[in-house]
Amino acid sequence: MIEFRSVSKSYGNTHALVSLSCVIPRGATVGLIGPNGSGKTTALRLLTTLITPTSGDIIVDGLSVCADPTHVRQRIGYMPDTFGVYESMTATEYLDFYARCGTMAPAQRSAIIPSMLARVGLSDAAQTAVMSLSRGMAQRLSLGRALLHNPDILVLDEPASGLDPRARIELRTLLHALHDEGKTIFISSHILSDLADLCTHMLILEHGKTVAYDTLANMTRFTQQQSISVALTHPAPTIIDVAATCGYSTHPTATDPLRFDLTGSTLAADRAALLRALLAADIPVHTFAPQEAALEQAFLQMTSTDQHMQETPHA
Amino acid sequence: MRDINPVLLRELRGRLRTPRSYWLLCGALFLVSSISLLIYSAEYASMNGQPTFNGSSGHTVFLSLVVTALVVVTAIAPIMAAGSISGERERQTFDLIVLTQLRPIDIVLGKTAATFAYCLLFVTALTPFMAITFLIGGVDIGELAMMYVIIMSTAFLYTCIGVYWSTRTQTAITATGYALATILGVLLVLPVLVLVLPEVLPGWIDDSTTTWRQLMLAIHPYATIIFTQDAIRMSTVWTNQYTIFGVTVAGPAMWVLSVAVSWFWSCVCSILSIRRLTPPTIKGAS
Repeated sequence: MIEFRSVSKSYGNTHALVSLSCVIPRGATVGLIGPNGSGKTTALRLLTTLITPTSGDIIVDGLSVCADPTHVRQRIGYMPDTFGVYESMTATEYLDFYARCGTMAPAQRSAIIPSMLARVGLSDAAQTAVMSLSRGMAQRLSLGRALLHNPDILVLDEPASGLDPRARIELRTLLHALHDEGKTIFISSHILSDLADLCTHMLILEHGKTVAYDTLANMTRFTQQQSISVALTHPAPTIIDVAATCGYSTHPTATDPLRFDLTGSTLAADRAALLRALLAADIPVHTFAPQEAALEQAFLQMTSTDQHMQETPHA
Repeated sequence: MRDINPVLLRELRGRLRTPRSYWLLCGALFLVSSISLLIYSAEYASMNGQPTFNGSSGHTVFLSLVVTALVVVTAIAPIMAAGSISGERERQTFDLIVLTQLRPIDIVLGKTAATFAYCLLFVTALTPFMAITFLIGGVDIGELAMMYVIIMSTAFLYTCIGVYWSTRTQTAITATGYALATILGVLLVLPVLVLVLPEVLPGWIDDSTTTWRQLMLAIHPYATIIFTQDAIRMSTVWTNQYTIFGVTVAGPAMWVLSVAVSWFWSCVCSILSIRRLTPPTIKGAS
């Protein structure tokens, strides 16, 4: 379990993080989102003990990052947003170096390095120079390095940044597997669709302050659209009257004359009754799809647009 | 068996796999040999073309080799060491090393040993040139060993100074600037102080003896070499007479003192470097 206790971090007069408090259960996958400069990386660096809080503390499995950073580090695998390169080092040597730094015995090293390369899908690149790896391969190697000492907690800062779609899918699959192993995972990312797929919890930061922290289900329920997308095979103007009898309003969509958004009750029974009524009235329903909750919408609703407007004044 | 320090291993691999190291070594050896050849040629010319296989010429060539080697070490040790940790910060690999189970002492020792090993490689590569002076004559093995010890102690001190500044700065260029400023400051300011102090503080400095000069210049390897030449001429290689407050006492020779002072400051720099890398713990945090 990880507990942030009123953690603040200031750099002079700049408050990078303001009184962050939350409890992260063991095995959770926490997505950390927020605009640029919202304090995401600061929160991750505080958790990894790379910086110390100005006030407050973080407790990792009963250990304080302030009082016992050395032991906290043993429990954490960290993958930064940049992949630091050592010249003239192969992928195997790269992992071997960090395994040695982790004081791993030679026999253990020789067993774990090939298996780690296989796990992150880099067996074929074992003798390839690290400098010549693609961005996706480098990210996977970085993840392999973070996993070398089998940490309970993984802290990933923008792991999917700059990856092509295939590499993103591979990384997501790997992270799913790690979640299934019971690892607690912290991910900072701007790719919300990835986070929605991976995370059990979401932490939204803005200007260093906590905007929201909750399970993904609760957070998206907060903004869940009360609409059902209905597509017809051919025009049927009576859909408006039939839907109204069930308590739903019908809104034509601008792009498709055969598609409507119906808003009203979100209860499953009411939606089932609506579908039955439409079919009974011979409305040619092609698809009937309650809108899925969108993390993007939750994020947009919870964060202000000031930051974005400041960053893109000509937008 | 305990594994070799991983930082040292990585540094050595990284350094010796790049052509830069070979070219640097070649350049340094070319410089040393060129200067020695020039000095030998000047000696030869001054003898009106007569063979110069005598002690004086051999010793002059030997000293030119030693001083040039010292100049090279003065340049390469701090420059290489200054980039060791600040360079990791620039490459954004430092955080990853810090988060491993390596102790700060392992990181500092690994970085220091890697640069020192390169200096050792340079001095070892210099041995054939030094051996030539034996053919000419005028140098004994004891003096050779003594100069090697002075050069290596200096290399170690300057490496430690470089590593120390490397722990304090974010970029290699800044660390290099600070390290060279520190070393050149000591090398240039101390001789000036030795000249100026008797004038400024006439009542405080006993200018009738060289003791205070020797003590002040013990950290100055070039001055140590000059004083050591005097000691060799007077056959007092291991001991020296120091006059302090009018009392003359026997003490270690200037070069021994210099080596001890170098090692002392090397330890101070290394301890400060280790302290810089030790994560701060906030007592009483819960």
